[in-house]
Amino acid sequence: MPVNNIDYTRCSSCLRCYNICPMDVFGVVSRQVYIAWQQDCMCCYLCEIECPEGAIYVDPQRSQPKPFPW
Amino acid sequence: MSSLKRIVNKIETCDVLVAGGGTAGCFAAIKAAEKKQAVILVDKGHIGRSGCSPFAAGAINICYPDDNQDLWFEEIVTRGEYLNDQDWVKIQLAEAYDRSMELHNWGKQYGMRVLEEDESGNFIRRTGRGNIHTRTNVINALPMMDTLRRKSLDAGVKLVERVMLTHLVVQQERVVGAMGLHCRTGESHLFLAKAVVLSAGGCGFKSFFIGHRNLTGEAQYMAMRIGAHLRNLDQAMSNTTSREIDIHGLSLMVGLGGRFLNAMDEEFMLRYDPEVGSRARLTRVVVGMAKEVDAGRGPIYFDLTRVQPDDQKLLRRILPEGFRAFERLGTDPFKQKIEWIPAFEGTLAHGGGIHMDTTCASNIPGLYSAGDTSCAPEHGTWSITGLNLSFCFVSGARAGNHAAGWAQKQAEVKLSKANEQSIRANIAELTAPAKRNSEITPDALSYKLLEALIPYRVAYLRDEASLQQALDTIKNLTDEKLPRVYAKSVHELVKAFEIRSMLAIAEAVVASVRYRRESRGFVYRRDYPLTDNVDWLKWVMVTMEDEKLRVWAQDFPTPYLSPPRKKYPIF
Repeated sequence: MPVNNIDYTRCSSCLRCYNICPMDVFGVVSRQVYIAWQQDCMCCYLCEIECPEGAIYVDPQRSQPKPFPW
Repeated sequence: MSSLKRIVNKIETCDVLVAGGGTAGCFAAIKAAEKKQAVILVDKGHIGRSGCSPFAAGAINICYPDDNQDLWFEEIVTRGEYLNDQDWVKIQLAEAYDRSMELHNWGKQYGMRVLEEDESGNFIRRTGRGNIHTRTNVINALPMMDTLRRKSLDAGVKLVERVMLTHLVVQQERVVGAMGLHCRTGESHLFLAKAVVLSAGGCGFKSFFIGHRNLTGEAQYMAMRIGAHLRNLDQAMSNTTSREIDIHGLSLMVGLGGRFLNAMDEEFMLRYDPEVGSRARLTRVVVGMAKEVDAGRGPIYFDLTRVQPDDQKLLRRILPEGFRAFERLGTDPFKQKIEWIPAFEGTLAHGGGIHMDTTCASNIPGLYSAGDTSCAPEHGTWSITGLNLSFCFVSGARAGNHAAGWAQKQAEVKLSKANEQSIRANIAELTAPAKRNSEITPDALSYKLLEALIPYRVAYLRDEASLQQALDTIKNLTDEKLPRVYAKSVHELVKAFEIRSMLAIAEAVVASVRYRRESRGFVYRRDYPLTDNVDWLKWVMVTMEDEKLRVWAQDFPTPYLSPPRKKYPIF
């Protein structure tokens, strides 16, 4: 699966991932970020790159099955 | 205005409204603000991390003042297979250097390195895919976007983020604003403006390839719905990617020895482009891949095992995301070949869009376009690598300047009763999926659309029957399924409008391809396999009239380089 883990022992609740995600995959409750729409993650790694604490892991596998050209 | 406040949650007024905050939109906003216009820049995501621009994979085409512009012109027009707007190619060559240096210097002021320099401070230039006389510079995408965001703010541009614009507001056949939905709160937003610049990318149909999945064509759709002319949608494009994961940087990989192989380990592209083999232009690569599969020689692989150790290091450094992804899959691409497929990208990059003149004006007064939303007039079909990005700078700046010039001559916008009625209807259209209860989700419909659009007999080896079948399926999805799509949250409401937009652009793309009865660029037709410079040196145009498509072909001027008037095979 794509973005699939936030390490809460590292997360500092800076909300950068929530602010920048192009697909709006994250949600926030009481300043705590969580993965709200995992099926929309496009594995672009922007959240992982941006996270100052190294708290996010993105798996490269596509979040949803897709038809292929052949 | 007072009654409007009862139907719209937020109303803002400005001189120039810019939709989409990638490179083109930021340039447009900055230039309009420099002309003392009040500018609002709206984006569906976070400006600087939204759209195509953050994923621009390092290559940018910049013609220097001391380069031979005539040679560059000829290379771009012949490799664009003559569909280029030649005046735009001249503008591109004349202005790309100034815009790139302007951006690079803004970056310096903010302590960011936009263009790559060597140890002596000279810009790095090299030969990429498709380049003969032309050269590409190396650009750092994220510092580029961080620079443009900061410069926009410093220029006084107001940023509005997480708002998806969906409809234009028209008064007496002029565009006087746009409206849409907040992606998190679901509130409706109305922007009244004297001029609107659409620079929100094209439509990538949530297909393969990295970073493009929030580009679903709303800007092109809203323009088409008010009668703006779109052009070159027949040239909807493809790149290629791994079957398992989305990866970019292919131009660099083939440049360093990457090869396309069929099931028999043959470097089959030598069959379709003997001169350059695997370094062939994308238009040929994707058709070549499909021909091999059709002949029973699939699947297709990409082979990096012959890349030299030093070049392996370079690839890992320039394309860290892709190689990290392979590592996480437990694959070493330098030791084993990887299964590879075409990645349909639709109207992104040079895949067609809003028809415009050299001032970036559309056929609708007050409506301008720039970057991928436009018809990418400099490219023709697909000419050379890195041209899109510098075109975004050039067209963005021109759109901002000319939209500001138009806005300065207009009176304040005052909406009419008719406007209020259409705004009410737009809100009803936007929110309807939340009031339904059915089993059809936006994701399910997106899957069905891709299933109709990307099979290789529709997207690569095409004929009348396969295209008609795809059109019938798309129309059926639009007529039967779209009115039943439901959304259980604001997030899903956004996706429900995205699929509406994608279906409309998909129909326009397939109808445009079917209209072109020859083979050129990304259009390869089994039933019309010749490139026909006698009857088909034409742009395929499309618009909507009363929500129905109208497609036609238009002759265009070729003032500087006259194409050979003959018919010839594409391979």
